[in-house]
Amino acid sequence: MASPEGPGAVTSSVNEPLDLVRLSLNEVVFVKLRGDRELKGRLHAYDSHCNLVLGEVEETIYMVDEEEEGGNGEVRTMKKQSEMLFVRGDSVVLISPQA
Amino acid sequence: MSFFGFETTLPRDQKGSRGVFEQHDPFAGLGSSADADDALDFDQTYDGLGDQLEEEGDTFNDDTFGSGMPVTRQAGRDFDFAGETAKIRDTLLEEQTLHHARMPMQQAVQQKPKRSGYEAYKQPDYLPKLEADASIWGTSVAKKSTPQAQQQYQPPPQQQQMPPSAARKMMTLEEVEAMMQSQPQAQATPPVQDMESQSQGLRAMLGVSGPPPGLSPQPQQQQQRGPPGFQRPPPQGPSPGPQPGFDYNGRAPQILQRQHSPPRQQQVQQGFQVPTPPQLMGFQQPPQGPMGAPPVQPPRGPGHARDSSYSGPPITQAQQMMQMSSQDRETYLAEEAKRAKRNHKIFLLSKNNGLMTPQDKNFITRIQLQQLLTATGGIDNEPGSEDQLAEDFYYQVYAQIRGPPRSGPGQPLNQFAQTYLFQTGSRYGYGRSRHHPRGGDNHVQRMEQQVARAVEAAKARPKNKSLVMEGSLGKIAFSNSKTPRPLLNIKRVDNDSKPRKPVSVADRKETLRSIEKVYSTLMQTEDHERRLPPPPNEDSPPEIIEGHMRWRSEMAELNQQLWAALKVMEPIQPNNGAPHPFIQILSHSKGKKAIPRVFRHLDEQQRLTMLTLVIIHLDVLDVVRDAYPPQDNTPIPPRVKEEVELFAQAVMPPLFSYVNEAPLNIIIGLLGLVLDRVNILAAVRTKTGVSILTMLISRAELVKQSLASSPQPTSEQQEDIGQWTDLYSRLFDTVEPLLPYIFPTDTSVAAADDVYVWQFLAAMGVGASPDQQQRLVIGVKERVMETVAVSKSLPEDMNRKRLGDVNLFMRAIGLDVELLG
Repeated sequence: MASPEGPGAVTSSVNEPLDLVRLSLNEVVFVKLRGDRELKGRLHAYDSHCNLVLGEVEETIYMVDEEEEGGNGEVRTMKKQSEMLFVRGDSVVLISPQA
Repeated sequence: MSFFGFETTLPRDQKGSRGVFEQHDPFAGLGSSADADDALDFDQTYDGLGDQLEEEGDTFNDDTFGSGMPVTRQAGRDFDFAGETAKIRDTLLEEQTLHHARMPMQQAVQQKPKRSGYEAYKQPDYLPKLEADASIWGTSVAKKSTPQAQQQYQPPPQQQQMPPSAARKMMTLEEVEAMMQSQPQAQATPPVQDMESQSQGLRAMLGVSGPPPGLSPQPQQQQQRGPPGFQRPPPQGPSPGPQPGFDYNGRAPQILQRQHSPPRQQQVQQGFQVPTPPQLMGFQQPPQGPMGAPPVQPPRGPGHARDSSYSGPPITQAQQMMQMSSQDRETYLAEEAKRAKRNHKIFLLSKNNGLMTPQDKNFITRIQLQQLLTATGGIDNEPGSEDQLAEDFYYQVYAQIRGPPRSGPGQPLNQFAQTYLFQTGSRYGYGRSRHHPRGGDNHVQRMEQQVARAVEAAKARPKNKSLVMEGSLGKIAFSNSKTPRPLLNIKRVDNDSKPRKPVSVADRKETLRSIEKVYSTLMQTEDHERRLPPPPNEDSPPEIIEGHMRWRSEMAELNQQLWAALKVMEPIQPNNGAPHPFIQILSHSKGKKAIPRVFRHLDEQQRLTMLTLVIIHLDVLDVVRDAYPPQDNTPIPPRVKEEVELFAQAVMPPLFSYVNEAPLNIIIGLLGLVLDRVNILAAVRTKTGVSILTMLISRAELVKQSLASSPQPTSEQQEDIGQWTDLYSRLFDTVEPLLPYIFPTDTSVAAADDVYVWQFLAAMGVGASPDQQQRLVIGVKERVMETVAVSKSLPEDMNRKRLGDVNLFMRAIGLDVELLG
């Protein structure tokens, strides 16, 4: 099991926000990242920096075409599939359980 | 003053008047202080000859060092012998050629090339880097010795008229000459001249020399004095001694000095006429000249009395060299070369000597040691200890799985520390004991003590990472590189003080929380299991027995926590829409994965309870409910398939292992529950449901057969068998109408993974009566025929596998697919 706590974890009572993330271990989560990216995948591991390891990830990248000068370009999305991803915590904006 | 280690003391000087420098020997002071604090093994870098220096011999320092500045007593660290020597290289070369011309006999010896380490300095482009920096001969350094010098110094009468304003000013050539002219009485006897030159040198050094200005220069002296610095000596009479090979650039000036000791007559005359400051004289006028051969010290000083191949008497002057046999001379020259090389090496090595005090070194060492110890977070316990587990959990578990760890992570530290100690010990201690039997190994000993103290301190450091001050709300946390100090430390409430909420609506989050609680408790339990003390025997001391008892009670407590966390004992609420909490836990894949780990820690009763709970809820298990084949025969989603696979791999084996050892009455009870409480219609159409039924039936058949074969079955056993037969009949009656539907429908017959169905049919067939067997065959006949037909078109191995699957059932009822031909 991908439990980051190691042997020392005491209780599962909620003491800090990340304890809620713990509930989503091995579950599918939705992760919003900086740079207009979103991930959806199974949360395998996390740490206090919100570094994440995700499996079976679908990454969605939102891009605005800047060809038009008005700046009102269309939003394109690009999707990528990854079997396993390590996400560095400094880019994580939010983590949401995907029930 | 000689920078080359030669004793330049004149015999007349040794009589007693060493001038002001008897009490001011810079090298002596340096040497003693270096010995005192062990910072620098001075004797290894310095041969001690400095102690024997004759300080008046510095007459030609400025010629050597090319500086018009007053000579200071401060010994700098970057003497530039080679650079200065190279300046006079041309002269030396000429001198050598000249000498060769005169002494052709010596050619062989002289021209033998020798490596002295100074070759590099012959390259002309090498010089500029080594140019002497005049600033190193600072002008004000020597002032502090002035009072002492004044005390001892008896100025000669002719110098008393010097105005004090001329102090600190260098005498110019004109001044000197003027002084000489105006003072004809300076033509004194040699002792007076000696004293004169000595005082002159002193004044030059102190910067107080200088005649009254305004005196006219003496023309006839002009010719002898070129620019300050080197002046090529004119050949003065026959050279008395052989000239060494030119490779000794560094040493050449002195040897030349010896060789060119001018005849006494001329020297005396010059001395009378020219009481010049020594820095204006060319080096052709060594002070020892008129007084005969100086007792030059043997080149092998006490500091490096090493194995010397040359064992003859010390060479004190060139004359002696003349008298030596050629072999001896060769040996001597080789020795000289070696020495020069060594001195050069030492010079290079000792450039930075003394930069660090012993305190500095100790400080650095301490830092290194501390880093060594804190690199592992101060954990230097025996392998397998709790701290080590916390530090490197996965490695430890891996090592346990792989076998006994050969070297725990604690070992490298100690090894490293030992190696570290050993290496420094050998380096310092050995060299030291060889050269200094007196000082001994106290440095190493101090190091060892330091290490021991550091280790002790690390051990004494509180093991728990935080300290709670009494009466305070916070904790003081200790940090190291691995576990930085947490800024916020909220005390956790270990016991669930809040009232237990009724599990009315077991929502998803609650289930997830339960699962995490299971894992936490599970990990604690596993952790505790690792700390199992050695089993006590009768001879064990009471504390061991007590420790074992404590361990067991803690284990029991953890077991209770784990059992509570599993929520198996939550009341079953049949009318509630939400499934049982344990079944909820099982509905998550991580909950399923926990079961095999949890199962190990449960006792028999708990296992049975869990099994019972699973079987009662067989039809509401997610792997049964979600896997129920849809009406339109669409394949079940892959996620559900994964869950089913996971259930089969994680949950079934422990249950199966329990059932495989269960007595018949338990099986009967379980099957009774299935028939009474479970929607068999739903269960039997899924892989999981069928597998569980197969598990129960096959075990019952095995027990029944073993009982039947036993000679005298007890009445209880008879009763069990009768009960089982009844139950089986009930089951058969329930299942029979479903027989055509128990096969998986989501794929074609050819691709179907239906081996579990054939296993179930086989289990049913074994215990069936002939009548029931008939009904069985009728029920699945279609499927059998279909499978046999399809498998004929399959590849060889697939074909065999499918037929083997079918045969599981056929053989159970005494048939074979071969018969179907």
